Amino acid sequence: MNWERYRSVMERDAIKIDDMATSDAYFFATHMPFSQLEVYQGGRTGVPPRLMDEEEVFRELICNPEDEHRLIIVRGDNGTGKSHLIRYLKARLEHSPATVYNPEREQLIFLRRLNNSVRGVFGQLLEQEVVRDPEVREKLRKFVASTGSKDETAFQSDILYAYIAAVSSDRSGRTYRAKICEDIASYLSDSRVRERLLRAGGAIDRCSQIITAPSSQVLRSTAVFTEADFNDREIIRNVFRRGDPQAADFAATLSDDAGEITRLVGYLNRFTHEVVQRCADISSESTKSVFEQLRKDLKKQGKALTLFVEDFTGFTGIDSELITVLSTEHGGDYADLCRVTAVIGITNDYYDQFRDNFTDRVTHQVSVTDRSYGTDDFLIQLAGRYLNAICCAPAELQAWCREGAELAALPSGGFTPPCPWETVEVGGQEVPLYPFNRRALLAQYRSLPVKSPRMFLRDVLRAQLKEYFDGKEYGGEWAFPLNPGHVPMARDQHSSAIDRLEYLPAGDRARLKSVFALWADGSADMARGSEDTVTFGGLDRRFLEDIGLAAFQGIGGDTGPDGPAPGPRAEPSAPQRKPPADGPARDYQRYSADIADWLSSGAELRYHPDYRKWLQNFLCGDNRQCGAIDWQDAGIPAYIAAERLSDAGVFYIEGQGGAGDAGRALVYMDRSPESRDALQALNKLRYAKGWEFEGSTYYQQRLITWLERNRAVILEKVAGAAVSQDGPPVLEWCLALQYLRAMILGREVDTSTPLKTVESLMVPFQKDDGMKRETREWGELVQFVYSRGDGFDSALALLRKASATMVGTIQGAREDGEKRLYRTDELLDAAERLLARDWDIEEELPGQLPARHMLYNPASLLKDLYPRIRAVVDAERTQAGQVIQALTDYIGPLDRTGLIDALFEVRELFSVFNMYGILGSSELQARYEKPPEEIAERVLRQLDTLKRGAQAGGPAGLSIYSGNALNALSDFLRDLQHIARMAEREGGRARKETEGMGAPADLAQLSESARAGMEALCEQLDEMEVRHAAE
Amino acid sequence: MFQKNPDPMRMEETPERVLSACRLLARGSMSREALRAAMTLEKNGERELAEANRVIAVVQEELGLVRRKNDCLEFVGPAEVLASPAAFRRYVSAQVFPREDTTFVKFSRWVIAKNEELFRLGRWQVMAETCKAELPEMSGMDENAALGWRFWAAFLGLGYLSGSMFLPNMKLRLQDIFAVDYPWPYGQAVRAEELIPWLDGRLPEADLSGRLPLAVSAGLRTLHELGLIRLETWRDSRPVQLYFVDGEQIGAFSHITVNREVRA
Repeated sequence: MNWERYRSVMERDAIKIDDMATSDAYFFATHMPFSQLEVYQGGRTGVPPRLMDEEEVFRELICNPEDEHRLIIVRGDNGTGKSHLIRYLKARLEHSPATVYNPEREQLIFLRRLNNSVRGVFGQLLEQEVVRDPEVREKLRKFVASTGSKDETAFQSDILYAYIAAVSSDRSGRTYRAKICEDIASYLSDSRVRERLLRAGGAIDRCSQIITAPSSQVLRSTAVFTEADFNDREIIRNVFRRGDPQAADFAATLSDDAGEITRLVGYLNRFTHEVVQRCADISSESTKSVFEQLRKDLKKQGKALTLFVEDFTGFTGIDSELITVLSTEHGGDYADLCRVTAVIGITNDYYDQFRDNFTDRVTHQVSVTDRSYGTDDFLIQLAGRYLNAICCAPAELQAWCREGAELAALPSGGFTPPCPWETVEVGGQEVPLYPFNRRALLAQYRSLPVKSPRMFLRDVLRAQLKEYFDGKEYGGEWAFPLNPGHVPMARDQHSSAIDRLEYLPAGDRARLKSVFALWADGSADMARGSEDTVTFGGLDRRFLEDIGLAAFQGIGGDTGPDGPAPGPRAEPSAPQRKPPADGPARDYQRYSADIADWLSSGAELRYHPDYRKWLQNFLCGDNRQCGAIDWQDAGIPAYIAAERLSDAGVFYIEGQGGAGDAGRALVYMDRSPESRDALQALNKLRYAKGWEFEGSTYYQQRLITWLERNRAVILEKVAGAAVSQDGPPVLEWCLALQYLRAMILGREVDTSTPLKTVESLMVPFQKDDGMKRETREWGELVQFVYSRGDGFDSALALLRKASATMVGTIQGAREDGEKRLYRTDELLDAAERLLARDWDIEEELPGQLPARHMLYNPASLLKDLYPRIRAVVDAERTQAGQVIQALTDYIGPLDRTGLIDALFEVRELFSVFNMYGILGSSELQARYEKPPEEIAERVLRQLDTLKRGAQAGGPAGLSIYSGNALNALSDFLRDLQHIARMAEREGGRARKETEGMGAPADLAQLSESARAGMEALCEQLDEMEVRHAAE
Repeated sequence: MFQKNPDPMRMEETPERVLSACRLLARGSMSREALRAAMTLEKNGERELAEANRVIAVVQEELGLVRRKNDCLEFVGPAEVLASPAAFRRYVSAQVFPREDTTFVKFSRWVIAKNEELFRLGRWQVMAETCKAELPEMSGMDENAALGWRFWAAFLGLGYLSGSMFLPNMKLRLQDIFAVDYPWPYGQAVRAEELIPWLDGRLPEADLSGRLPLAVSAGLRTLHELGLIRLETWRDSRPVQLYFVDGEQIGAFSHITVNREVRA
């Protein structure tokens, strides 16, 4: 095969980017007749158009035996074939018999888009001897010659100053007042603004193109200024600060109002016509006179004028003059003008922009719409003709053209595909569409962003054929077929399956998917036909072999010697949700494309917040339904799973756009085909509102495989400190906190059994300030507990919720309702361990704790608490030692006998007081009215408690001191001190009274006895105080 | 939950609760009342008591892990079955599935046999009603029974819950079987013709006589994709057909290699 020749012919002759440069041979060999052209009378479109084919347009509008005045515009969007139609009409006229076209009576002028600029237009007018006035001809010749050689920079400066001059002299007041016009002129003259406007691709460059552009450039728009020319905030700011005062004034206006730039752009574009004329040095009158003179000359010669203008864009600057001259109907006052049939190609955009010039002057409009070229048959025929022309020997084609270019005699390209292939009839012969087929051509046309014949030829036929020819010529790195529209395979589970064919290079997998998406039925279904042929998705395997995909064996190839088993094909019989353009369908497609791009082109996920919610819902369920992980049955408390996964921020997808922290993710999804399929599964599930959709079993498989591949890691991360070998430590921490809080606040906890312990600790404690403590440290610890009440309360809530069982969705565990059944075994395990450690687990707490983490907050609080507890216990121990020592000082050995003796003495003293009516504290007396043995037993118990406390540290000591024995013994000591002071006081008073008055012998004796007792007590007190002072 | 048909299969006796009750009794025998009190932490509402009673019934009467002795309940099962949810699951599977007269197994069989037809039913109520209509012996089935079944079905590895749907995929169930009493050396290819009869005796809830059901096929495919087993078709061997899933590469296998990692 002549692959290199095919490619060369295609690029050089058949499908040139500017199709107007093609030779007649290729033009006729590839010409596709237009039909369904919309034809309007006049310049308006109010009435429905007549539909004509190109032959009818020729017969009724171009043939003009009645010599009617006709100004016909051929309208359409860029690339729709206006020029092609005009070229065809011109050729059709030229090759018509003399009865239709007689060169003796008809001057035919054809202005091609080849020179689509003012210079080009003038050049063609000169070449075709349209310009008759010698003076004008000379002027135009000078212009055409000069602009070709003129220094480009100088010419562009001329253009800019022409605009500035036009603005500066504007006194119309239509858009801006004269003063503002001067400001604008000053602004445009500023060096910064000037530099911006003169940049490559900027406004002045565009204007220069309009005037002088070479033939290869197709100007799409005649708008010179755009908002981009002025929308540079830094320039505006600089001009405002440092520019000329007038320029600065206008810069201020631009910076204040965003709409002002649009206004300025529209204003400046109004001057383009004037500027072009000025720079081309062609006055409006002289331009007009060119065409007037032509018509007059032709009239004198007895000729009429038929003018074909392929693209009117090139007439910018002289467009209105031309229209004016051409629209002047011959006869009457204008009997000196010849008849005109003008056919002018014009884009819809241009027409809309200068509608006022045309509306009342145009006699007919021919509109080329997608009705004319967008039909399936048109596109297939068009492709067939180009494919045949590309394969034809160029010399044969030239000869055919010379011999009249009859379609029936069109030479055959003679291309033979490697397998039976679709053909299209062209001029009575069957032309293979190879390497395309009908489906591929139409699918690619539909995927074009701009659907027009030009785009179809350039971006589909030419682009794909280039890759095909290169592949065939050079082999190796095939790129055919391209899929710039990213058209996906209809059977997306097959697309996914191809992604998993590890024996194929990634590039080949992508090509296969493009083939199946565009050429085949959207699937990779394998079928065996007669004569041992194999097809995939309806495509002959030999086609795949031809394009370097011979290695592909199908996606379900591992099916044993019996061949692929079709099995009970999963075709759900229930109505499928069609993909109409409703909201959910659009969302589905939007998500689907986003997910596909994410994997295939490494793009960022645009809608990741939605996908993360889907993952959350899939794994955790919602308020009514369970998720795919049975958290509580897997040993993770429902509350912890629900709470930990309640924030979508802990779900992270690789390549998600925007913020996010992969490091703190509990559920991480990598960028892989499996993840892509998992997301697509969730997208389909969401759209279908259930699992009944085509390919659901495939996507379930992929989703569950993704889940199982990640399940262990997810469980581990979610559980965190919630689960360990010995049960959930977080429950242990919460129990410990609750117990320690109870001890600090002096609450009783029944620790007789682990179960009683748990039951005691599962209830909240009310605040109680009644208990007085002997040490400052304990008081501060109580304040710490109150100040960190939220932390303790949260731990209790966590304890109660995380130890509760949950029936159904884990989301219910977050609610505050009463829990019914608990995982008491775990609570008992925790309580047992804590009891065994005397509630001291400080050493077992993790070294590094994450901040503000629901599972580690209790441990953090414990870490803060334990040192305080130890300090408190130390203080209590010291204080207890002092109290015991003081009591010993008063009483002697603190044994039962000593205590009872002392208490009897106290009772004796109170009875003496009572006998003599000495008033003391009745409350104090009441405390010692109980039998001394009983009081002694109580004090001994308290002493024992404090002695035990002296042996214990940390939480164990806290438990011992919690009952406040220290306070009780301190009270006892304070009572004794108080009594001693009373005895001393009353003793002194009694002595005075005894000395001052005669008293009965027995009373005197009693008083003496009491006084002696009190003195003894006072001595003891003194000694004690001295010793204390010494210490 | 695992009673002879008809069994209401209520929701409250979840795997989590049953395992917790067993572990409580494994700490030491206790009276029914004490167990109930422990499970409810002394909350004695009617509802709590009823739920606790149902859990105790499963533990005592249906799983045989507990017996009554001197007015006390005593854990009599092997201690290691309580070591982890996975160990418990494997033990319970071995107890539950051989008893084919239970509503649980009968309903499981029906669900597995439904394959992807299941997805058309959409909701648990419709599933229960359809089962009842198709199998006269399942006349006691209702939505609550199906809702109760789903927890244990998911726990024992018959599939996954997704919204109001059950996704059949016996990855976990098959993995347990391969992990517990696989008779061939790990890492050695075994003919499917040998494997299937052996598996048939351990998967009474699935019909392995022809093309394998979706749940079994999906489970095998997942294990294969995770690298825990390898499914292959050798030349000149008789392959066992897996359930057809459009796009899946593996449609059949003649040999299976179970890797040691399956025991993890």
